[in-house]
Amino acid sequence: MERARPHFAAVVGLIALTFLYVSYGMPDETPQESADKTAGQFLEKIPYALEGWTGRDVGVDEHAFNILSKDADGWLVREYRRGEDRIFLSLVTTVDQRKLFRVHIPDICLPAQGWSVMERSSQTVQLAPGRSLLATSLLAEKAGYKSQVLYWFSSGNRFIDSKVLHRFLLVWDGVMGERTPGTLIEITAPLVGNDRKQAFRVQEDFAQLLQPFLPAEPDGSSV
Amino acid sequence: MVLFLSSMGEGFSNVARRFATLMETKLSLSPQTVWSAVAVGALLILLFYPTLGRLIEEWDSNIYYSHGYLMLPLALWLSWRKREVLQVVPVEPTWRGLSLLLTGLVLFSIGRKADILFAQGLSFLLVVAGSIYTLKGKAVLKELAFPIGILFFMIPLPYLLLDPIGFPMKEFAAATSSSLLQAFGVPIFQDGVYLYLPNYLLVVEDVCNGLRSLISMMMVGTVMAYILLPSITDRIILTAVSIPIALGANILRILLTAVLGFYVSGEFAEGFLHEFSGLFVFLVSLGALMGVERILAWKEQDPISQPLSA
Repeated sequence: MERARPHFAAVVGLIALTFLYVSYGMPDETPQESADKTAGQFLEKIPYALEGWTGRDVGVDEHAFNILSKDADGWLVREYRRGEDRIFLSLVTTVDQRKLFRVHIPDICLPAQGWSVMERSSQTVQLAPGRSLLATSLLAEKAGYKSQVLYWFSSGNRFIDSKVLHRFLLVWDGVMGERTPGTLIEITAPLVGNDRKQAFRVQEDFAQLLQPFLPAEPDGSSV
Repeated sequence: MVLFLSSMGEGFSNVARRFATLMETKLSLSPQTVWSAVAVGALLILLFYPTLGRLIEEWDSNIYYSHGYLMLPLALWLSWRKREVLQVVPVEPTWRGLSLLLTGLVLFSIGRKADILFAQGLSFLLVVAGSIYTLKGKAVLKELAFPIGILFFMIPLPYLLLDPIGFPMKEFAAATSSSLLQAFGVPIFQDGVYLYLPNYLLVVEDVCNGLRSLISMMMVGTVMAYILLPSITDRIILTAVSIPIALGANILRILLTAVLGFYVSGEFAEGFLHEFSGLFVFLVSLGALMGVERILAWKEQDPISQPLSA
């Protein structure tokens, strides 16, 4: 024991120091308490009429409803039409972005609903002159119908296309003492023929109109 | 008031002395070992108390980790089984253990600051291992490595890891169940995780993806392998076999639910019987695991498979 006494002091000392650090260096509020409760209110301001586009709310099935009710602080699922162009907008927001990770990304949701994801790629979306973000693009197929899904996350005031990077920034924000809201933005366009470029043009056009109503501002690059 | 506090202090001190004597006589532990363990243990409880609270919340609410309550008692019991070996293993305190301890404490600090339960839980294992390594040395840590390591099963994996595992399992379960039901003449149409029967819609929810069975079966398989099988190869085999057993058990449960839903009704299938079928299937998979263990143990003892002595 004599031999171990300095080791014992070191172990006790380090644990005690850590205890003091986490006890006095932590925020007083829990993440849920400190999270901005108004973060989901922007959903109410998304207009049904958007420069030629007309929207209507679309119901979700019970399975999706159960997941969203449990893990999301707000969501919106709408169909927008403009002439022959048609897109589906899905926004899911959480006041504490950690909960956003419990919401299934389209890569998981689509197969759950019987869609096959044929391709997955990254796509630059121009939201304004000199302002773009990198989104994930999926080509999905079901019963002969094809759709192109474009989605990205916003984390606080950043746009992100990678769930892994989103997670890293969550940790970083947490270490820095921030508790930021998060949103999953998904724009789906049915493919007419196989014209993916046309579908993307429609999606990009809609994203540009939607951008002013979203909480995050693109600063010329996404993370 | 002073008298009251002083009596309380004396009372605690008596209890502590009796505890130390008990440890010394029952476990043949020296007083120094007991007191250092009590001191470090008390500090660890103080440090990890909020984490333990969060873990309990998860064990209550997370469908994949309801077995979490069992893990600490299990780890303590596994450590207690090692008491005779620990008495003869050389004790060599070393500064090398501090790197493991520091890693655990830093991870804990990050986990607390960023509110990441997985990091906090993992840090508990590292801090305990690092403390033992520093105070008692490598040989003692080696003996206690498994009881400490088994605590990993009480730490909820982050959803970032659960989803990529859970969803393909859900798809597999839905597709396999659908194929088997069709093979047995039950009319069924599969659309993703939706199984449409003529009179019943069965949705393979997250709770039915088999991940819960997989995590708990892997835990049971790992512990069984460690306790019952001496050979490393056999231990790996038994742990690995727990995976297909868990997947098969989950599919069996979906099949039972679908068959009951089709031949009786959806309400009947998803009522009490659904929960009962879960217990039944768990017992069946436990039996299957024990069966594999018996085969592996018999193979070890079989004289025909033993090399002939010269």
